[in-house]
Amino acid sequence: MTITVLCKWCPDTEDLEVGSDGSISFERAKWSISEYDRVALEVATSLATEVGEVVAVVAGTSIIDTSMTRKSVLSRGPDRLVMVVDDRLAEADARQSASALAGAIARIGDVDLVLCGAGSTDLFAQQVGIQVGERLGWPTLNEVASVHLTGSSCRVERRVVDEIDTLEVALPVALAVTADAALPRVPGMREILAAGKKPTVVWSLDDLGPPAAVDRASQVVSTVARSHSTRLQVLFEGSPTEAAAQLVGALRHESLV
Amino acid sequence: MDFSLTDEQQLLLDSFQELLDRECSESYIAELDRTHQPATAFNKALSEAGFSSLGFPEEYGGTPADALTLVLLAEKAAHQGLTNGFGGALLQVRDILMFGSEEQKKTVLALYQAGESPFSLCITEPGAGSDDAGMTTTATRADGKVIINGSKTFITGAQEAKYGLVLTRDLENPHPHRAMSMWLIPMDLPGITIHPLEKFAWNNEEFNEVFFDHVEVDPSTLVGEENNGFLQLMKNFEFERVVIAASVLGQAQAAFEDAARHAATRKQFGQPIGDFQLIQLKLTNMAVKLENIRNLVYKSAWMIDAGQPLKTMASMTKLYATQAGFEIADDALQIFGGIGVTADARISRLWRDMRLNRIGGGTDEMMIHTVGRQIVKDFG
Repeated sequence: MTITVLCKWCPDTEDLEVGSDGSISFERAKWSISEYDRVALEVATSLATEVGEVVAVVAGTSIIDTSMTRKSVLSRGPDRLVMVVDDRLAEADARQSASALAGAIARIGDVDLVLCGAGSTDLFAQQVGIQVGERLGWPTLNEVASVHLTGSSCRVERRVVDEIDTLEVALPVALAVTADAALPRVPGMREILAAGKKPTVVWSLDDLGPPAAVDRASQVVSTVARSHSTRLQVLFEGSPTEAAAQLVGALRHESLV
Repeated sequence: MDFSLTDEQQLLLDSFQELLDRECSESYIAELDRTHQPATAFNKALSEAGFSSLGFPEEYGGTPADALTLVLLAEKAAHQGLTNGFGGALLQVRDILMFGSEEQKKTVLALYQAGESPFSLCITEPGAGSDDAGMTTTATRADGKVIINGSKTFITGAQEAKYGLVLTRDLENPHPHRAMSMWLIPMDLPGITIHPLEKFAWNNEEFNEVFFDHVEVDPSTLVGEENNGFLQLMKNFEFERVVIAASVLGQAQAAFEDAARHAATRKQFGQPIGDFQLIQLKLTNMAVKLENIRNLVYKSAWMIDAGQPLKTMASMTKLYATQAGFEIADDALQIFGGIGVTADARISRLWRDMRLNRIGGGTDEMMIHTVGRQIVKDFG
């Protein structure tokens, strides 16, 4: 059995900088595997101890084609890595990413289960996993809290609002797991060193056939940060009574009481 | 000169930060400080994630790691705000790895790798602090047994540890540094009494007085060669000083960042206090000192990895790091003002803990003595 895990190599949102005009810059951000995909990797690795191999798939521009990306992904458990590296994926939308990833899965062949995180750390559009399943023509479920393989099918628990649905789904299937489906491992030196020895293949979109390279479904016109009210961070000093009086005075000054 | 980290080092640091964020939050550390408890849960998590095996040979289930990597991890744990969070026990275990019997190695490593405190280093005595030669704890042989008598003080972790690595002296030998022996003995033996000492820093590590009253042990508890204990002890002191300096670096970085954030947001006279040049002067001097500490620590680790003798480098590194580090903490406290001395402000704990670094692991004065004596010798 082969399980593939879709991993996004993306900038850390904690490092994003918002300009005075609302513009968003990731220029100084550190890149890493999307936090939600780490959960999917952990789910896959725990399943694979019983049944087979785990192949991680990453797609993006040449920015992802580094030894750091490879070792970072492979140190988290998968047996091998497939990278789709193509600069035509610059600022790819969900449709383009899903097409590339589905093309890679088709080329890997004999894949029984595709896992991905609930969304990506940077955008959290929650679209790619669903669209990959759709492009492959497989049953596709999101909000999956647990997965158990049962021969030619799998049993999943799916959280929907206040319910937990248990479903039996025939393989192959694509699943987007919830953020708490597993606690991702913290790779140690042994796993990191072993990662450098695991196999990686790099394909371009052209290696995957025409369906993998598609046009954008939409064009981004602009991206600006949503405005938030600024915290004044005023510290009122003195006795509790004095500080309370100052607080009430400040609230009145702002016409809030 | 290449200051960049390898992929492996960077990934390991990322992993370690993940573990720290998950298992070692500021509220957890503050609670350890408040209740004077060791970081038992974090040590277990370290062990489960394989970090306790770093730096040990593979034949003992370890994963070899260079000195720079170990130093980076010690810095990272300290940057989280945890005093002596990584590296301390590892250094002690190296004594056993180098000189212990196979059985001693297996016993100690199994405990360490399980996240438990394997042993407590019982060296300092009321009359023998910096001057080990003043030691009076003895080990005498009688009827095929070894009898230990004496007392130790400022012993870290004695209540928690399964074993004690006890240094004794043959008082009849006129050469004190060739009269000391090292013993690995269970701490629950009859005749051993432990009294905790109250202190105001490093609250996540207990200090104790330990009394040995006619404690009978088997001769097989000897570590290494009899009367060679002092030289065995010295073997890992240099690395210990570099690791202490690395911890200081992490703590000083944390103090600096806290102070800089406070200066940028705390308003007085209608503007952030960071706009005042007196505050900027402090922050600038702190930043320069941080870079100096970092360069000394990393260079020392690099020298160890390159197989170069550290000579006085480890002492210079510890001396500068602990003094400059405390100056950074002190300036940070000054920037915070009154709120800095409250229990809610992390800087209050960092300030207390960083002061002790100038004493623990070799005082400033001993570092100066070591370096100065060598300088005069080199030019004499």
